[in-house]
Amino acid sequence: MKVLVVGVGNPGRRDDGLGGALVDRINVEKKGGQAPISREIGACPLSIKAEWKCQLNIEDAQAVQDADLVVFADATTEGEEPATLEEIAPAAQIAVTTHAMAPASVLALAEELYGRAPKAYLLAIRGYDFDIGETLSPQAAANLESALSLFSEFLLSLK
Amino acid sequence: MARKITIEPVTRVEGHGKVTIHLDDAHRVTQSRFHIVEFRGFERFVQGRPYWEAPVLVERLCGICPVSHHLAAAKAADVIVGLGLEGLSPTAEKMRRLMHYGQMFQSHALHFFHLCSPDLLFGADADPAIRNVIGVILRHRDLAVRAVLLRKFGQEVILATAGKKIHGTGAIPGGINKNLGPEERDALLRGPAPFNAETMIQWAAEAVEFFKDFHKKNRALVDGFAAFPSNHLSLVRKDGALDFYHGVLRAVDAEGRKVLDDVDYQTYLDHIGEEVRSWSYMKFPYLRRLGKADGWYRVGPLARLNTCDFIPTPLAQKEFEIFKDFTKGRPNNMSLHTHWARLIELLHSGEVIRDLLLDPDLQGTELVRKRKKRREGIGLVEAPRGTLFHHYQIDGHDQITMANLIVSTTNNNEPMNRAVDWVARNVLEGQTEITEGMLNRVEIAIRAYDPCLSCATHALGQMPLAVELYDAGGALLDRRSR
Repeated sequence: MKVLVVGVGNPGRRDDGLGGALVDRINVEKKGGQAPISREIGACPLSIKAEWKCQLNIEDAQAVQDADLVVFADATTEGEEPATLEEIAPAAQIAVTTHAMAPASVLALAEELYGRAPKAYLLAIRGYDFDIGETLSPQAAANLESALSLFSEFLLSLK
Repeated sequence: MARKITIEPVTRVEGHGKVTIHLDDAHRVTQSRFHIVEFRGFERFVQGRPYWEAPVLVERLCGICPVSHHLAAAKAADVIVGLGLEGLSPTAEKMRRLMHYGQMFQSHALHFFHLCSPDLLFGADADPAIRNVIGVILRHRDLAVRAVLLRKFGQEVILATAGKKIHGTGAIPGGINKNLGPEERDALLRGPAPFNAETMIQWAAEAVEFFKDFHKKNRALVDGFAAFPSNHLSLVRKDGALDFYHGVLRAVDAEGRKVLDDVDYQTYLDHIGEEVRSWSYMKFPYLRRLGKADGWYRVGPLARLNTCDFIPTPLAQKEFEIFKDFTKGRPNNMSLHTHWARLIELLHSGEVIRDLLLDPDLQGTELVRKRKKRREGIGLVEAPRGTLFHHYQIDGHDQITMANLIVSTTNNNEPMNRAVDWVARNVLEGQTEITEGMLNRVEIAIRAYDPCLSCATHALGQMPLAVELYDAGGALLDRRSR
């Protein structure tokens, strides 16, 4: 099973970098061959690709359509603490700016352009400080650990 | 009852915009304003950091046009390391140009497909369920597929020159850190169709034709919407050619008279002032010669085609002549013609990319030059959305002591306010009911400039724009969000 993790956000705006921080951690754990990232699902090995994006955009439709499952990870200003993981569906939205695109729009674009949108989830990690800076706030850093646990449990639940 | 229409962010305001329109009891517009928070925080952030870090630090301002910030900061750093404005090695200058035109190519393709085409194809009153990129795909699938590949091509150019598609490190003070290998060149120049420079140029030319055909059929909308006279400012090459990477500063007024005559941008402070208004976080730049009231100007694709004398590539020059003929050689002051100008620039960028890829200087090995260091440097480029100023001063320890950035969105502050005001007075005034389509026209006016509303941070829960309608007592009558 091919799993694509897309971490979204600007690491120069403190907790907005949560998505990228999650991607970094997954890639470190991949190198270490740690479970559950190295597990097998049935007879198929779990293949995880984790990528950081400052913002989602139209070309990401091409990237996601090749995966069996996509997890978008992003900071949230209002969501539940420490993090939530919910399935999302394709949905087209009006764009006000080229500078942002919603995960649901990326899925809708993949569905229309390439004929398929993979099953997808949104991992929303609560952030608090979005000022200019390069480090996560202490609370956000703790939430990142919870999000990683949530993601690991999710992988173990895949059959 | 007097009413106030507000288009504003749902939560915090960093990187977001807000439009307020005040109506009196007779539904006449009494005031309209467009607010965006400026990026002054970044100017403080880089203070105390070594100047050579600036090109990498400042590009985090934006995930869509980081190359523009990267190169403007690098050009300022070139001056600090003692190079003249034309002091880079041919390999370094051409690699940077290739990076920059790749950036322009991907950004312009994205804007046309993502922001402009839904409004043009479906109209401002169309059902929002259709008036989006998915609606474009359903009606013009080829256009949508091409747009994705056009943007991807531009990003591959950036990857080959900057090392990364986003937040690359290619430009360093005094030059670049890599040249272009023959394999990288050939992949872009002679890749299997459609992913090669010639096909991209052909598609860009067809995008221009698409717009011109739409224009013929919708003259009143395209010509009349948010049209107002203004000054126009941009870099131009010393011979008057369109140039996105380097040149001199030129401004023309609404009649085409030069009001800033090809000046060295190291002297920009002598010519450009920044007015502070109490109601806005963002400053209002103006030409000192004309004063605060009359000196405001547009930047971006429309302004660039109004200031330059010609475009130095054949296909884009042919389209430029058609564009200029439409206004009989006079400046074009029609906001929606920005989309036309943007597509001509897309075509030009494709031609420049191809020509640069054919230049053997890109495989040269002289990457960096340095001379006697200075304490101050100013770098300018034409970013996709307009002129971008970076200005730094350093101390004896190479640390930045002062940074001044004037981004394209700031340069376009007054024009965007004028565009919103045009919609308020021509569409909203006198109406007893505010419809989705009317409010969308406010957004169409803003979208022509594609301001940097939400690029610095965009966490979930932050909508780029929300629309709220209040009565005179402050009660919420209606609310819409994007």
